[in-house]
Amino acid sequence: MKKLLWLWFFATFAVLAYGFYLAIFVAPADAEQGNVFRIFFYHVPSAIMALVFPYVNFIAALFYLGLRRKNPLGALKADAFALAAAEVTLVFTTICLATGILWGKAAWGIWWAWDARLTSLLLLWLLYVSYLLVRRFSSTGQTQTLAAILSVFAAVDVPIVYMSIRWWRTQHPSPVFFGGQDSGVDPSMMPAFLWNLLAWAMWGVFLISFRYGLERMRQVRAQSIAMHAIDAGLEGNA
Amino acid sequence: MITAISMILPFSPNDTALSYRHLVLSYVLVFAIQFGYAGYIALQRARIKSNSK
Repeated sequence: MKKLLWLWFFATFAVLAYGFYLAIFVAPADAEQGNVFRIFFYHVPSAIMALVFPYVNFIAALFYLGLRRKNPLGALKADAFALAAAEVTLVFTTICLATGILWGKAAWGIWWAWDARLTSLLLLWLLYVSYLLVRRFSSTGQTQTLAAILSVFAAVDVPIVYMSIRWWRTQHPSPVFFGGQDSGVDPSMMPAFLWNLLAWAMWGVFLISFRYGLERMRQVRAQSIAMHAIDAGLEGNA
Repeated sequence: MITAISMILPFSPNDTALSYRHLVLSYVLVFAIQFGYAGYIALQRARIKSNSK
């Protein structure tokens, strides 16, 4: 398993490097925006991952809720997976917001607009910040359950983020893909976009696996400490 | 740092200087956040492994 993870890492690194090469050296500059358009090759894949990984978190949270009484060990694994997906979602959402803000300043002349797309994405970011704060600071025995409920809210926000540029008039550009006749990018830009999409999807999977491994190590260690404490207590009573 | 990175890029800043800086800064941010996060996980894993020995 460890070998497979490192193999995946090196494959991801190669695809990332190729995606970078295509985005910088091969894809042409946009006719209207010039080179600043190249932000698109990282902004859009990050945005797609920021809308896909919340569902990994959501499904893992549902597994946790379903298993927590019947199969506590399975529930712990599901919870570790949910936490890993939540953190990776926050990373991609942060990048999507940051690159969008930088592109907005260059293209629109403003850093931020309170339109439906930007606001709903900011809400998703805040939900995952809340999720991680609950995980970090809640001292009740219900921390995982509270976090799982936040996952449900995030899963509800994701379709609103996706549809916001279809439902409302926004400062954010209209859909580039699946947006009707006038949507899409020049075919010469597609390889750079698709390779970067693949690269960041692979990187996201790697990060979730890597973070899941860390959380399982923490859980196993916490269990072992608890077992030692129980043994010590029993020996003290004997 | 942006100037240094600009020197290795294959195109000259034929946009406004503002948009060029923003492009470089956004790429730096993407890799810094992603690799920074992966590095943090690697450090935490190493710490747990060394503590459990």
